[in-house]
Amino acid sequence: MLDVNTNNQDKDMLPVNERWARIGPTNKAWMIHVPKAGLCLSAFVVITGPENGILIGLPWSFGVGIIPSVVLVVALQLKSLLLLEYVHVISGGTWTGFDLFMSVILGRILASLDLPGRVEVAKRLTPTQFFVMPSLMSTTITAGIYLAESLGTFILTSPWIIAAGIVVIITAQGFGIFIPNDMRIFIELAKPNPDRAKIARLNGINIRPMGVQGVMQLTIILIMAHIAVYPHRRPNT
Amino acid sequence: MNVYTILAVALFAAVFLGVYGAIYLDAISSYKRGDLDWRGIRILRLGLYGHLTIFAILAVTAFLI
Repeated sequence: MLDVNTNNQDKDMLPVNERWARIGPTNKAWMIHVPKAGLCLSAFVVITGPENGILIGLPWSFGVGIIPSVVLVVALQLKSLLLLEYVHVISGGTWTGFDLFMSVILGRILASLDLPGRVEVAKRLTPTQFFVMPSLMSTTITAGIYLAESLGTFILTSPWIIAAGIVVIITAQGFGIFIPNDMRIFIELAKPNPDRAKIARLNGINIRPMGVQGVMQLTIILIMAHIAVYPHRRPNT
Repeated sequence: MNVYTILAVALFAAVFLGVYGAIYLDAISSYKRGDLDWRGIRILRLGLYGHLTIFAILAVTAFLI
């Protein structure tokens, strides 16, 4: 992490206050100029200046978030059942794992932090996950439907497929709670004088329902496992 | 073409745009009041474009079945 108050500059680098946020070691980020920023673990930018600044998890998040949907396109284009199953499982597993991590691990860590600490986490976490989570949600569901259709198990009268409708609740939480809160945090961060308490509160609202998400996702994975092991197929497949 | 997929993606996109639009209008109001600078609006727009791109890619899959 770079500190704008130090003059510890590499001779090949611009002065700190002239840098663009960077995603790689050499390339300028293609989105936002951040006057006082440094590179942290090549993943996102950490603002160290005294004033508030939006940070650059956003391009990174988009770059990662677009991968599942692109791989799904490739799987369908290649008509590869293996790749389709892989996309569905890895996207769903990552989505579930992320939710469980947020609620079981990160939620406890945040609870132990003071307000500025929570805000600092929110400033980095929100942009970095901004595109990733909606993409994982959408891709998992879309790939799941294609997979069930391919395997002949997409029978809307099957109680297990009906039970899988729990994903609608999970998705509604995502679109109704997480994404709006993420955007409200963005807006607050972009203000010259952000309300830190509001940021921490919104981030807390985001973290808490993830436990519910985790429970529902453990349930849906059980349903998925049942469908995989005891499939009810259409007679002609 | 898979009609159900197109409908599902359209539904996702409609819900998302509804939520996003409400927050965007709120942000515009903040900008007019001087609480929010232009960078905030720009970030929201970039977020919108990014999500629309992801939805568009998923919509493309409906034509690959």
